[in-house]
Amino acid sequence: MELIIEEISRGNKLIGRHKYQGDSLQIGRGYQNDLILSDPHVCAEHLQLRFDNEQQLWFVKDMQTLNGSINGSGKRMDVEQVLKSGDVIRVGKSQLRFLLPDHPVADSVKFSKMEHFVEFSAQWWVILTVITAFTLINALFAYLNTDIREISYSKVFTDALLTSLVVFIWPLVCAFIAFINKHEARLRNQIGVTFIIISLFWIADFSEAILGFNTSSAISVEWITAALGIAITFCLFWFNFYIALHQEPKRRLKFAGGLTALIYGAVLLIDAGNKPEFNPFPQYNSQIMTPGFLLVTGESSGQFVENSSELFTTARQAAKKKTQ
Amino acid sequence: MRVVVLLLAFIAAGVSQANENAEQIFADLAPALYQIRIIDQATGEKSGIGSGFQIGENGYIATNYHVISGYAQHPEKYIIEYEDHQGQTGQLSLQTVDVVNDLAIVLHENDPQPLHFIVAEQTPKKGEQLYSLGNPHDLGMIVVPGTYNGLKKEAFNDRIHFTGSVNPGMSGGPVVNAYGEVVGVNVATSGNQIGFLIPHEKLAQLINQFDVQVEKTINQQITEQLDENQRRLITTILDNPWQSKTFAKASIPQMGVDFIRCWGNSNTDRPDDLLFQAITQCQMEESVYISDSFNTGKVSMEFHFFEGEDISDWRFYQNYKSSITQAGADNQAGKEDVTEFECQHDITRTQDSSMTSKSIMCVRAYKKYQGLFDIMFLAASVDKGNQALVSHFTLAGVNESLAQSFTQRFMEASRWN
Repeated sequence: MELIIEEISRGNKLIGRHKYQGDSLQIGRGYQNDLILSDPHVCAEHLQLRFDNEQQLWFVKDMQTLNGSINGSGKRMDVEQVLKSGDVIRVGKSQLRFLLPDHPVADSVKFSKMEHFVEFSAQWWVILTVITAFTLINALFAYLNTDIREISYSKVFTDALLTSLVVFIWPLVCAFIAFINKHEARLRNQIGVTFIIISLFWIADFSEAILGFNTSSAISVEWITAALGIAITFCLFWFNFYIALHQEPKRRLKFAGGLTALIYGAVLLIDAGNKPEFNPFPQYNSQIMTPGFLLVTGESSGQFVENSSELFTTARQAAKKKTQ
Repeated sequence: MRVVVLLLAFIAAGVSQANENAEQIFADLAPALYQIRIIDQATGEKSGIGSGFQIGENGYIATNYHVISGYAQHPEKYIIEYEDHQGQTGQLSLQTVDVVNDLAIVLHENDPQPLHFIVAEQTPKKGEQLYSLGNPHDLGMIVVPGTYNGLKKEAFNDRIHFTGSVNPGMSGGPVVNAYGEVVGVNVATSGNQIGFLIPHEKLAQLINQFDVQVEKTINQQITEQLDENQRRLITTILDNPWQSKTFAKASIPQMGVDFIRCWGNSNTDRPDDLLFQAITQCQMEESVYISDSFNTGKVSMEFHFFEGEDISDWRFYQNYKSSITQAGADNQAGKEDVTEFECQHDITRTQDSSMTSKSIMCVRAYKKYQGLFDIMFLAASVDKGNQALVSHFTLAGVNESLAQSFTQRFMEASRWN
């Protein structure tokens, strides 16, 4: 009769899988065994398994060992007992799972679109393109922001390259996390995905600029841009976890969501902590862009002044509230 | 009743004899001169000093508002004390203030001596010899001779230009003519023998309104004075038709009032700067003092012209953008004085569509003087690729409707040539 034995680590990771043919099987540290364990807490002859042809069942027996064996229900095995497919028995510090050939397996998982994207982003040409684009955009903005005529182009580029290198640290960290969790590091996937998603922040910045420029203070666009930023951050973490760790979808959502909340929560907290008790400077939206991005015709000065009545009312109420 | 006493004092002025020298004036009037001290109640120490002079038999003493402003703002923290020429001290009570003209009247209640100064009825002549009395730097009462040089030019609220040393501590002391009549009150100095005095009419005005004013709280008096002052100020500006003045490649308003003075600058001397920038700054040189951390009653404007002839629009705007992020109020104010700014912004265009701008307006309200606001306005043109005009003004301590009228006028006043 066939029997499959899986060696499992204490962290429930599969270490080895063995398949046996026959009616009996010896497990222990001794070299005469069919399955030889190197765990020093395991006895030379530790477990004995036999197949009963009449009952068509496997039986397992502890060989009166020093540290004993613990069965699936957490009890010490004192007498021979029936072994069911899927049972886990703890011997020493090791765990063994016993499976029959007809043990059901989970449905096969279809490659998700995410997987396609992750694989796509791991290609060398994608990685190179996206890092180059990221560096160039950074360099472009550094160039546009320079307020003097003589530009040191080498400085503009080294600064941009340095930014890209800093961003590079993140996929390295993610790959390392995968590695220490005994998963495939998939560094290229991490790099590709990280740079693609971080580049989305340029789109968020651009939409923030164009919205801030074209809308009046009557329409609040801050929350849209904030939500966009949070969504992109969440996506980044989700993919990082997706690549690095084999998690249940729910668990991954929790991890990515938790990390996002942690980061934005910390930012909010620092902001709140730095807020002065009284700010004598006006806080206003000063977003402007080139005339090409101006999509509205603008209101009349009369209308603008009329709208300001609301400002006076708000300020008046604030003054009253604080003097009371 | 008080008014009658004070009016009698004016009549008495006519019979004064001309005194030949400063010593005689000082000797005659010394008993009516006081050092005014603001005492911090917690420590019992002086936190500020100034001078004052008796203006009536009943013990009314005139001084500067800024001398006693600590008490006016925080009556629970301070007391006002006097020290007379014999070194005796006693407590004074605050009666009325005029923040716009920096005057205050305090009362010496317990057994005042009757000798008092008389307020002149006539304005001195240019070049007339005057004598400023006061206690500079806590050194003791002194007499400083000087000359009357008319009213300060380009001032919205009149000040006498006095050629003579007015030193800290002399604030609130009287300036008398050869007859010993008060023609002004020491208020400020520009150093080097340039002193400024409050004209005697302002004091006479405060004395005449005394009975009405004294019924109101100090905060009410200040609110009314600030309100009246801003009304006069803004209406004067708005009643004048604004001229258009060429400024680089644009036109900006010129208000045609002499108390707002303009200064200009540009960065032509710095060829490495990416954008050419020209600046015109216009402001009032005076403001109304309320406390060390709060002043108001100011109007200021600023215009910036930018041009980047040989650079891309993107680069021009990226640099131009950073110049409009940090506009603020022109006057000083703290948490106890004002609320934080509330702002609005929108794209606006002038009536004839000659200029499209991003306009920003911010407003903060006064807490103690309700109905008054500080305004900050900024319009940044966004209709040209590599030229831009920023028009900016601040108003301190104005009411809603005047602020709106001013803003409306200002928004239509800048245009491209």
